[in-house]
Amino acid sequence: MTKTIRRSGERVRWWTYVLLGLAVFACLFPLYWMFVVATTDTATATRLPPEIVPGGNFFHLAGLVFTTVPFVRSVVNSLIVAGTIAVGHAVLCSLAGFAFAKLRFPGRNVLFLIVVLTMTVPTQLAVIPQYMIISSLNWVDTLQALIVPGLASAFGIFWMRQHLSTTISDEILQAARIDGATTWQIFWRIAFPLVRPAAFVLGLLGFVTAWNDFLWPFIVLKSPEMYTAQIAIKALQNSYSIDLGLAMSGSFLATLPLLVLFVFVGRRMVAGIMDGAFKG
Amino acid sequence: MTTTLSTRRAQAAPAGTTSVRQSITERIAPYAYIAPFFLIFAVFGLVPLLFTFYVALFDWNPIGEHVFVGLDNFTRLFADTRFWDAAWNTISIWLLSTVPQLLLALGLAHLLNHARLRMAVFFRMSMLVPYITSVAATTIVFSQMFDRDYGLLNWLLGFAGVEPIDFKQSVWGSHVLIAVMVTWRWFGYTTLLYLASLQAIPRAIYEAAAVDGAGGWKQFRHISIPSLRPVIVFTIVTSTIGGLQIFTEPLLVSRLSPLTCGPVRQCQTLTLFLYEQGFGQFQFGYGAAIGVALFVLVVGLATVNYVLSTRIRPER
Amino acid sequence: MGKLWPTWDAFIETGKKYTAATKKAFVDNAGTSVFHQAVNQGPQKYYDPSGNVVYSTSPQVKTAFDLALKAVQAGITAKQSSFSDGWSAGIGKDQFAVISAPSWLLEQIRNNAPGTKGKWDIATIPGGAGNWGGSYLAIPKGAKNPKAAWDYISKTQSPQGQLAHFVVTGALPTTPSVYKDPKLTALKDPFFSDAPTGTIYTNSLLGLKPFYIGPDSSAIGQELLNAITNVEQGKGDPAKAWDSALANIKTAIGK
Repeated sequence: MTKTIRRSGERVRWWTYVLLGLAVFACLFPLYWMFVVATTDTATATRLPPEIVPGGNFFHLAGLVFTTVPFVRSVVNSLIVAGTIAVGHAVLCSLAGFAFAKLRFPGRNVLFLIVVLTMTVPTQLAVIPQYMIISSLNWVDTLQALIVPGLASAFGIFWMRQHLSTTISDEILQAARIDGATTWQIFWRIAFPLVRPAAFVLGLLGFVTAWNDFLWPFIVLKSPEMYTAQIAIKALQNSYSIDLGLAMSGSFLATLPLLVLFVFVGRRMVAGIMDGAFKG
Repeated sequence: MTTTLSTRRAQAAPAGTTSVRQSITERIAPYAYIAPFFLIFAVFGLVPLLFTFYVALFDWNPIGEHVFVGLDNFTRLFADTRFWDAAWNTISIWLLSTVPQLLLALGLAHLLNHARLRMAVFFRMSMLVPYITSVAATTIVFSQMFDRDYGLLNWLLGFAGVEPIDFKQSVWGSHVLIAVMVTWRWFGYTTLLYLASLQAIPRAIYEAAAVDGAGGWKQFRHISIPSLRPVIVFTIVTSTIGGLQIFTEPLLVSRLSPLTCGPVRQCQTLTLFLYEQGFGQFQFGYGAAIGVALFVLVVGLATVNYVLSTRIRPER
Repeated sequence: MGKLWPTWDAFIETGKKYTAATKKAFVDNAGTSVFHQAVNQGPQKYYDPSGNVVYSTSPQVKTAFDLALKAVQAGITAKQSSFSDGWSAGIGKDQFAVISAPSWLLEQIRNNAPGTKGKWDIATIPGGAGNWGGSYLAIPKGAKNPKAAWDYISKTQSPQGQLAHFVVTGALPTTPSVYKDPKLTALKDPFFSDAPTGTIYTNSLLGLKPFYIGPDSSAIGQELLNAITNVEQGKGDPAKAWDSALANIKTAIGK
């Protein structure tokens, strides 16, 4: 890591804290509000002036979330999808990043350029043929339809390549080769352990993206037992009725796992994102 | 993007005992390592994209006939007022959600980039909280806060004597509402990217500028901004690609008519229009034609933005 | 109460008096409570008996559309689209006095506004006969067990099956043979001031004139409804609403 050098050491003005405080408030308030509404009934949620402290209805509504939709099942589905993608993403992108950073092979630079260029290809607009492909694989309404497309990404390869080329010196690899290690052994025993922190953050980003994905699961999942948490929150409200407290309760419960995770790994995520591709 | 290619490479020193078979394995190893990505991208990215162009030439019913109709879908599309409305909505929402977001992130990154700032970790972590909140949850909570009758925002505006604003029903209101949700979710992430780049600028450059008599604002404009060029280009291009394909927010913001984002399609984006035609009306061919149009729009605007943003240079 | 509004015009007049006296809205919205009801009361809607689309010339459609606009311009609607958050909340807050409610909607009113028990009554709809539409049951070709599905449908949709459903959920039977059944005629709803729900709803059904519906009926209805809502929410020009609705239908269904 390069030494961090910041703006010259003048004093921090008071209004800097005020502005940053406002930004923090803007970031956190909607989540607080979600919790407040998740603890009241609809009559309270639609009263003016609004209730701005949490009510006592949380456990009742949370219970309703679990009985209205198969919510436990949805969270488990989300964990399976996001967990598999996180691990697969971390390993497959590290592997490809390793190849691009540390191995010599014909076509390397061209192939890497292609990887970078694919980042600029908008693919979400191709959902109709994507659905046809999933359908012809008989994967409609299955979790692998969500997992497989998310296992590797151009961004992840770019990111891991960056880390691998700056973290691992060629001398170590050369020494390993002379000792008779195969390429796989070099990757698995030497390179991967050294970039594990970066791969961990990449896995986290993959986890968050997969956990929060909406469009694709919305298209390929059909039966309530296959729903991910995000689709389950959508299912809590329909065109004919909404129970605001219930909807917010579901949203809050679907966000909670990530918030808990964030408390433990947030610092590393921040560091990971900042340590990414654009330094120096 | 500033990547440093490793200049010295490991020289493979095959020991004399290496079997032929092993050396073949070794030679294909790099290709095997990068193959998963290319396979996944081909099957779920490239092929569907190319297939979109093909399907767009048909009257394609998912469980019925596929009739080749040439460019009919496009003729119909260009005469379809719903398409032009959706295209305008898409561009409007994208502009409203991208421009303020990037400027806000730039300002916040500047504020955070201070050696003696206290609670720096707290500020940074808080700003990443919206990023881990799902779009679905974000939409539900913001819709409630911006509600015409019982929303917190209109209640507060009431004290300033403002009549309740019906965000969801009006064109500009629904665009602003969606833009606020997108901005909320992404500005912290963008701020961290900008901050990382700012921190990489050598202090000596600022000191030299200070000696030359350049104040804070001048330093910001003439040193910080040009140094941020690669990351600004990156965020502009990615937010163009992402912002023009917005789908979930408009779908969830209007519970009564989700596929059109309201009774008069006031916030129906092109991706939502595509979904409505493809999966609501089962007109895969027409939906694919919308996809092609969206592709042209995204690639066009991304290119224009790329060209424009790479022209950021230090002013002399 | 139904005597106050034998016709839709009388309904609107009553609404004006109510709104003038109470300063509150009379009816929840013009789209579903006026247009959607009035359009279903004629002998012909969007299709003629031979399956041609006639929405643009069918007199019933234009009449219902104009009635809805008239209600909007009379200022008697609460501008709360049916089933919206504000609508659900408004039921419990006396925001409006009247809702066009088919029998299955009663359950929702009970749930949305438990505190309004005894404050509602049920009256016959202006024009006499009501029909909000209906649902369809289909067995897909790929069904795993079509026979069991058919048996289930036959059982639940038998006259006695439908009657049992009505008593519990309010889904109105389509089988006139049970309309004289004491289980139905004796039905009263304490939530709605002991209104005789069984007879009010079935009588309104008997007065109904059948009309043909076609594959695009719901798309046509939706566009017309959208045009009214747009005027009601203050965004659309009432003078252009009909033409723009017709244009939107043409784009949507190509006819």
